[in-house]
Amino acid sequence: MNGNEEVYFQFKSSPQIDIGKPVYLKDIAHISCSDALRFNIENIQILPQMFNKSYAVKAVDITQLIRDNMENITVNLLGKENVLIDPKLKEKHSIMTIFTIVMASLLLFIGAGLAIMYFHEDVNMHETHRDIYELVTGTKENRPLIISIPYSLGLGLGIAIFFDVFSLDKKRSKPGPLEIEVYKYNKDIEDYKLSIYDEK
Amino acid sequence: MKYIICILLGLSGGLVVGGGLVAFFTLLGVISNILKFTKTEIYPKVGELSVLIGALVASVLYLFEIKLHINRYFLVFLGLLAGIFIGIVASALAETLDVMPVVADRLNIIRWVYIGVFAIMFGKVFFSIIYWLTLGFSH
Repeated sequence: MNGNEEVYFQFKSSPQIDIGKPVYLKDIAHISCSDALRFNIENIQILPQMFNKSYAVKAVDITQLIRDNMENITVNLLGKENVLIDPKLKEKHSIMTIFTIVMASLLLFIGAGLAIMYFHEDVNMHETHRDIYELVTGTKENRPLIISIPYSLGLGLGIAIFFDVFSLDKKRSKPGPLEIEVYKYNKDIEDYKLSIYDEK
Repeated sequence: MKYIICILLGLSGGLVVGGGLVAFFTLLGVISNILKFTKTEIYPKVGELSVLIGALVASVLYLFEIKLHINRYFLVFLGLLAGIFIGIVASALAETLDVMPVVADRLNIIRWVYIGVFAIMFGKVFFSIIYWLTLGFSH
């Protein structure tokens, strides 16, 4: 090997690792180097077969691995200094998944319904609707359904507006609040796992 | 003297409640959400003023027991708008607690998280209508 070769690498933000397969460097990092070296470097094995367990991989270890495998090489890191390997089973569309989805939907369906009934009782919504009816028309009405039914439909419309479900199928310019929440939630879990597994 | 204390009490009470109301809506992002949906973000003052005037008019109408004598079908429009507002408030409130991401992640169906939105939506409408038709006005 002539002279000093430079290698740059950058950890992928969320590497996709399948359970039961060994992890190679190309799975967890983007690499910039000369073509002669590329194949050798990309196929350095980082970890043997993955089980259902998370690992934090440090940049120092990667650097050491590359230097062990090749001589006369300068390794440079770009970006963050460690990455979480979180192996997952390949998602299958089994009956079980559909069952869980149906159960989760039922849970949310009934839970949301109960919550809105509790809320109506709690804030005396029936009295409020009677008051509004009297306020607008000037006559009393014990069952002002003319306001309650549109109100109920509006409730659904309001939730639809909040989660922006009208533009679900289209490619939208901004992510909805739910996507942000899911992203933040995943990010928090990843940060936590990184800080825990870092010591091992 | 009595009247001065009463005025002071009412004023400070109203100040706290009004501040709390606006702070609550702003914290939940209700106003910004509505402005975003109607694509009127460039006029944020409109949103502020609407909340102010709305709260003022409603409290005046309510406290002085004014009767408007408008056609009753106006209530359909009013009820729909009230429902939309409560719907946005309720979902904003639920989302600060991260209900759906947590449920979806625990059950390993994070990719299907939007099914939860539809479940909640239909659940709320369905149970709300059931409530109003049966228990709601029985007391």
